[in-house]
Amino acid sequence: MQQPTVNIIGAGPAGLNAAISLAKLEIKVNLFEKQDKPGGHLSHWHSLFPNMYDAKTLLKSTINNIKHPNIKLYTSKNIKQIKRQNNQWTISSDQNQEYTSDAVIITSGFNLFDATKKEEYGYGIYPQVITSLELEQMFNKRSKWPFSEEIEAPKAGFVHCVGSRDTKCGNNWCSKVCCVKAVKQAIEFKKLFPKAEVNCFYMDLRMFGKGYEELYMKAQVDYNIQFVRGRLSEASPANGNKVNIKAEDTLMNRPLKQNLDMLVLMVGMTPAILLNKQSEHIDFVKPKFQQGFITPVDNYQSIISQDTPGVFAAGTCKGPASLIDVIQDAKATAFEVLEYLKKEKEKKAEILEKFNMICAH
Amino acid sequence: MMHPFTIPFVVGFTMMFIVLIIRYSNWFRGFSIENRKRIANHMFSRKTIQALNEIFKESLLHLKIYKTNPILGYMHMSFAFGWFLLIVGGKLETWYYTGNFVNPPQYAIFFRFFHPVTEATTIHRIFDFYMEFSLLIVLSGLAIAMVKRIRKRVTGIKNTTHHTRANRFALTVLWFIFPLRLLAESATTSIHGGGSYLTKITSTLPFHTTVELPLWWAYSISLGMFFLCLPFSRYLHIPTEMITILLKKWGVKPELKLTTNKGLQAFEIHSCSGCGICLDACPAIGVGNNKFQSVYFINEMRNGKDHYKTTGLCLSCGSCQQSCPVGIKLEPLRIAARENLNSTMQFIHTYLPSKMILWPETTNVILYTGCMGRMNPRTTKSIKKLLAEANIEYIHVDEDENICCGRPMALAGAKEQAEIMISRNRDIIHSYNGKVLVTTCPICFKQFKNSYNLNLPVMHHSMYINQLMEKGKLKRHQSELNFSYHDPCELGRAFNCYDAPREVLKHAGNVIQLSMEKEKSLCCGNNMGTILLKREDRQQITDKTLTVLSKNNPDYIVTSCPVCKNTLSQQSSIPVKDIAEVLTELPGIKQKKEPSASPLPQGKAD
Ligand code: SF4
Ligand code: SF4
Ligand code: SF4
Repeated sequence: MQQPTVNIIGAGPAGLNAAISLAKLEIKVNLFEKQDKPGGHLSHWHSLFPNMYDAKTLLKSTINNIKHPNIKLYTSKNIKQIKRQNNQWTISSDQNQEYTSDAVIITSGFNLFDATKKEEYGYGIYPQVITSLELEQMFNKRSKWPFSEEIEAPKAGFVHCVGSRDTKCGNNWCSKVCCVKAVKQAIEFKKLFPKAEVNCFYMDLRMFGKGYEELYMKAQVDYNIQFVRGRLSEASPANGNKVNIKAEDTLMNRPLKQNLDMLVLMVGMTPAILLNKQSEHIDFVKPKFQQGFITPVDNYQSIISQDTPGVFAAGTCKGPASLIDVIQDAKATAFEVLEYLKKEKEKKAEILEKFNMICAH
Repeated sequence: MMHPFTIPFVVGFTMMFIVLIIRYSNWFRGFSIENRKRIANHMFSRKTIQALNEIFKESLLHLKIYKTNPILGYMHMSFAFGWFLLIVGGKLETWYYTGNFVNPPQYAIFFRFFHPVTEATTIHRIFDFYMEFSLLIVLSGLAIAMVKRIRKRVTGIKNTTHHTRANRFALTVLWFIFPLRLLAESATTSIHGGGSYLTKITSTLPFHTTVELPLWWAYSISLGMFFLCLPFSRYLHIPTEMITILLKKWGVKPELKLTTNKGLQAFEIHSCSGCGICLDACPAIGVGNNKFQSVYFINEMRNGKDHYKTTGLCLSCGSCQQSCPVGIKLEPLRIAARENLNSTMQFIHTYLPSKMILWPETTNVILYTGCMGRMNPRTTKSIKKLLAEANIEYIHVDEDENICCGRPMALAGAKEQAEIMISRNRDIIHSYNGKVLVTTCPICFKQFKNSYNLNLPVMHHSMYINQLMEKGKLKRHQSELNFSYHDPCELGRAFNCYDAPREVLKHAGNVIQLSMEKEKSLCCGNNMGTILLKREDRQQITDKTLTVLSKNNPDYIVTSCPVCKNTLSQQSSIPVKDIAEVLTELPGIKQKKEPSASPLPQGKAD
């Protein structure tokens, strides 16, 4: 019997890990990536919460692992459609190249919320206002601080839930990771600027994962980072290359104003693609307002619907998740795919047997 | 000339008059002294003639309805004007026949019964022809009305009003009147001869002599019943509308507090014909289960029902007021209604900042960006850039601290609170020596214009930019970019400001024509006006508006209101910009390079 093939769309942490697991199970994998390099968002991070693990080390070892004879990586391939043909799925890129496989895993990940949509925070207008992604780049020394090097004690603010938990912009969900990420980034910032004054503006603090709560405690006790409950109402320019923010401290019940050297927007996760399901094919389109993540048949399986057997989804394309959860989900999905392929093989064998019996008579 | 069968009509007609006089005098009693003076002053002036002209055009010909929807307009016209022709014709006919000008109304109405065959002079034949022609007009309108009830799509109306029982009864009776008249006259013609072209045809039906009188009875009864019902049904609008037109022309103003059964407001409320045009005009129609449109609101007020929801849900977009053929001032009615509801609300405004200014600064432009400007720093930055580019001196009054213009409060019915903000802001604005107040927010603009009594002119930034461009102080390159322009309710319908922003855009690119624009433009869905409409419903309205704006794939959707921009940009897949941003941010429209003019004394902003 021929070796089964699986096409995986997206070579971020989910796609990479699913590919490695399947390859180890003797399944052939074609791994497609839109960018010219694998890694997804992981390649932008500096260190990972909660243990400050170095992101580059993790990325390197993962990419090393996909150098496996069963895995073929295709970069700069933008997938537009999956078509059903007999019992197989053919995916096609926007250059109209086609690749057929026995199963497909969608690992298309997420997009970061476009912070210019919350104009009141002044992103793209005042240079002091940056996103959490840009801050990682600064930690990675790939870009410069938004304030002068001479400032010894910069004042920084972190705004939680930017583009998350916000019905106004249609993103009602919590992005899960930004709370702890803000804590991590604040600590990292304090390590670089020990005299800095750092405030985090939050609605709730969601420290759900192992070690998160401890990190949050550490931030307060060891690093003197302040946590202020209240949403920012606006940012405006202030004298001396600063940005002025207005917020309400809802625990103290009083309005609050500050001049900051840097304002970090903890941008949330938004869906990267929308699956437009037709009878025999699925189109990948740009999601519109309020169109959310991929919803699998239920919370305990990765198959996307009963009508499309063989198409699975893993990782953050299904909704916000931490890197740890994504990796585990990718591995679990790989196992689900294996089960599916086995069943299909058995079915085929049965049919063949019946056919042979009929012929023998 | 009296016959027992006329009694139902006479009784109904008389009763109607008595009830109308009682109701109207009650409403009149609610007029303030000023209003009474206004009536006295204008009663014998040209205003009355103007009012009669308008009554003729709107109450009889219904030209405004005709313009919005020709079939519906014809239906209303045929009823009102056709009936009017019958009344005038009847009057002339009896006058001519008897030689007396004054005759009892029933004589004219049932003339054919009393005189089936008049002398065959030309004049009489003309009268016969004329009367039957008028009847035909009414009957054609009736036919449309019947079709409309059965299939509303035929008349192009998407939404039709649902009637109360009294209204339905009156409507049914009304439908019977004219067919019965035709039948009665046809029976008389068939028995006694006479008649004109219409009854000549219908009288060929096999009428037995015994049916003639019962048919006249039926006609009289239907008329009598209709008149009896009129003051208690929506048909009260027929006489009321005419009086309202007169009152408004005489300068009568609504009383300060909303009174549904007193004063001008009572007349306005009862002028609504229930035509339902406001339903199709409302952006919230078909969104959620929201029945708050003006016709419902007015019905609730008429029937003395609670109107908390109908007032609170409405977006105050002004679309229904714009389209109401009767010209009812619906927005002031709603705000007045909200004032009644919110009289118990408490707000504390001691925190409002105040400014102490010893030496008033002199400047050209006082720039006010408002609360919503704080949500749109990009717009603020752009207008400042433009002012600097045009070499205009300005002071941004609410750069650091801002006090709301007060309109959201006023819209919510909290008039006194709004007053506090108004006076605080007015003091600040007056403490500068400015030539013009420019605001980037149409909501503030409306409030400044209508409620501030400022000592300097006010302009919306689109108007001011347009002026700068006309004077050649700002120049742009016309690019290939396509723009869809969204008219903010508070600027477009409220001030008929449709051209200035479009002129500005034309300097920078092409303005796409939209299926719904200018007067008909849809609300962005987030108008400050609403206090109860659910977010999902508002977002659905935004979606509908975006569908119109996104047609033909413009490069940018442009507006000139911070609220519209903010709302549309959340849901749009096409970028949304303020008009000022278009001039400062877009590529390819950069100012034409010209030898720069010497920095002479700063330009006047007048
Ligand atoms: S994880 Fe925290 S910051 Fe992120 S969306 Fe949820 S509550 Fe907001
Ligand atoms: S408010 Fe005006 S538009 Fe609406 S039903 Fe009444 S008359 Fe017609
Ligand atoms: S003002 Fe606008 S939202 Fe309100 S009822 Fe009229 S059309 Fe509808």
